[in-house]
Amino acid sequence: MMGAMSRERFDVCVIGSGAAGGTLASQLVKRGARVALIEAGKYRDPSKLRNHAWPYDQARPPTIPSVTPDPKREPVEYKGDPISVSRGRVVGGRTTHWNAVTLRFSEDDFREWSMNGIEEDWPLTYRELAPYYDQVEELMVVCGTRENLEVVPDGRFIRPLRMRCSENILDRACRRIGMRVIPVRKALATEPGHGRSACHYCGHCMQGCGVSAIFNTAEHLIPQARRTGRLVLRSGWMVRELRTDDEARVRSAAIFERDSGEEDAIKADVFVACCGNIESARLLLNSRSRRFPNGLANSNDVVGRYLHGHITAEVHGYLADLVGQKPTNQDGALDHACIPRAQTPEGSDYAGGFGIQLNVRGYMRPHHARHVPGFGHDFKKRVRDLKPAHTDALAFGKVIGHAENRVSCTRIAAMTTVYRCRRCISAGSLMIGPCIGRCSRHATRSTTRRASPCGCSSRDRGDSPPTRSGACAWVKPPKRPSSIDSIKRTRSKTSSSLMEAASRPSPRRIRPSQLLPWRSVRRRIFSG
Amino acid sequence: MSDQQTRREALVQITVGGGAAAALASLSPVAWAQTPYQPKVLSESQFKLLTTLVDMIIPSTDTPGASAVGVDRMIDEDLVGEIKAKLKEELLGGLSRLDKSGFGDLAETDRVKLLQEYSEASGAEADFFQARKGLTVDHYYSTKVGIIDELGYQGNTYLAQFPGCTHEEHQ
Repeated sequence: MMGAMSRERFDVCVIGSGAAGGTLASQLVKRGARVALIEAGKYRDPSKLRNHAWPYDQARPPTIPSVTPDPKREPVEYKGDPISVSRGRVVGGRTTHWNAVTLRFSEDDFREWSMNGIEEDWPLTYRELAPYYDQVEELMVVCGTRENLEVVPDGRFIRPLRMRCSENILDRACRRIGMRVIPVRKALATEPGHGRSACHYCGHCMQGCGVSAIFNTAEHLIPQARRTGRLVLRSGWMVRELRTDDEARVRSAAIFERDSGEEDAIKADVFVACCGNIESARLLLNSRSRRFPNGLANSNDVVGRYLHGHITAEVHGYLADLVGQKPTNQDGALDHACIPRAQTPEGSDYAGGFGIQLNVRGYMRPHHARHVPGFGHDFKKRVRDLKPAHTDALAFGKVIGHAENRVSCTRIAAMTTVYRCRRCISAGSLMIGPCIGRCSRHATRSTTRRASPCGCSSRDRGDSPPTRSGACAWVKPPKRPSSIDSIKRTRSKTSSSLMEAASRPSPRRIRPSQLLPWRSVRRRIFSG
Repeated sequence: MSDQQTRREALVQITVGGGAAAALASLSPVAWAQTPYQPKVLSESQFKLLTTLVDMIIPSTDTPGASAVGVDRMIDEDLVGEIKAKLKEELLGGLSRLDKSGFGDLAETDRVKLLQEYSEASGAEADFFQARKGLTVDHYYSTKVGIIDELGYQGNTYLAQFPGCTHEEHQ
């Protein structure tokens, strides 16, 4: 069945409406292009989010509609190593549910081969990109402080978030060892007057901002672009494959509607795949033809390879200054402050640095309560006393891209992921212990029996040694990224959540391009 | 304060929907927990044992304890459904072992002593204790009493400004 759309030829067809696709489409439209924007998910009204609902006001057991496909309607097929990809299908993509931390890369991030002997230097420099950072920050509206730190260059910031007690205490300690805690840089309107509601500091950022104070392409860019009449949004439609002509140019995108199975095609001069690292790879790999038997743009077999994300490691501890203090509202804006990337010490078998986000878990629940020893009156009092003092630090480390870590598609099976986290720069796992430990020697006295010698309880991982706590196996760095070193295969920390592939059989035949990976760790809570 | 109340009310209007919420809202948590309850999965004696256990973990102090806010019935309700078979088996096993040890008939101090042993031991009993403690803690601190009355949580609200830390000694 051919839809009405097929007759029109667009200047550009953008696939995916998230941070990349939504922004690109809006900028193109602004400059006069006619754009088709294809999004697999549908629009979700953030004002219907129920993230202010109290746990005790929710039905038991909670029934939470999610943005992920219904496994009954779209049978799930999974193959390969489990990884976690926190992406749902929704207009706005990940910008509908993100913490919006937007730190600039530093000059050194663009030349990691020169600095650390890993990966490749980028073909461009920070200075070349800086003007575009300015533009993007103005577009998104980013709060923050100007700190003049080399590792996270300053940008065009609006009023910063005010630090909490725990963050001031940690900063005081960090300064003594040459580190800093700074207010986070986040695409968040902290003040009115930026064309959107200001933050009301409820601490529910990650579940989706109900007033869209956080930058969200679905609210802040796409509606405006549609009003020009030059943007056509096809939500609920998936791209099955990109079709080429005899001259090997992409001419159309074969699309289908996820609900009805109706098929259509979009013609355009330019196609841009912005549907996330896995879906974009899938799309190219499945766009096979006689001319391109391995998929589009894949004559060198790189598409789908070098799959990498970041590792995280988390520690929890108590700040002695705050034990037993009168409770105050500390919600703020979730990832509210951060420790900018600190370089790892000389002589370690990992390179680069790491960044730490503080207090990422929200304050409503006593995350420490399960881990306070004992029971009874003393236990209950201890939980109460420790509540204001509990603080957590989540370190992020980059994982090096390796060709062996890949997404592949076969004609008959679903996606296959191979993900072996072999060696990472910026060792969240290695550094967070010593780092927080050093802070804690100055700032904190642990108040639990579970405390490790550095003064913080690494609660989530029990007593695992620090080198393993990031759930990455650490080996000596390869001299060049391509060299084969011994693979220690471990599952990533997030491996308990499955990377899954959902298929939606076509009425006529099953095409591998319909076998779609999906994964959303964060389920959005909607009222209906 | 009245300003905050108004916001809270507005918030409730915006966010609270659904029959369960409306039904719960009509009763205070403690009053709800004191309405008659017929265990859905556990037997009467098992439920009684569970009530004793959760109250030993989180007793009544200046705020209500675990059973007063219905933690025992929440755990019982957790067991409903096929998918909870493992949890059910483990809970029932632990409760029956506890029952056989005469836990229900022990004096208060002896119960505390026994639970103390469990909490410090390793093996099945320690696992059982940790699991029950975990469930009790999760449920208790999800109730209004646990979040607001016991821990004094003041967030999940609308603020025009986030004041941040205003303590001179923390700067």
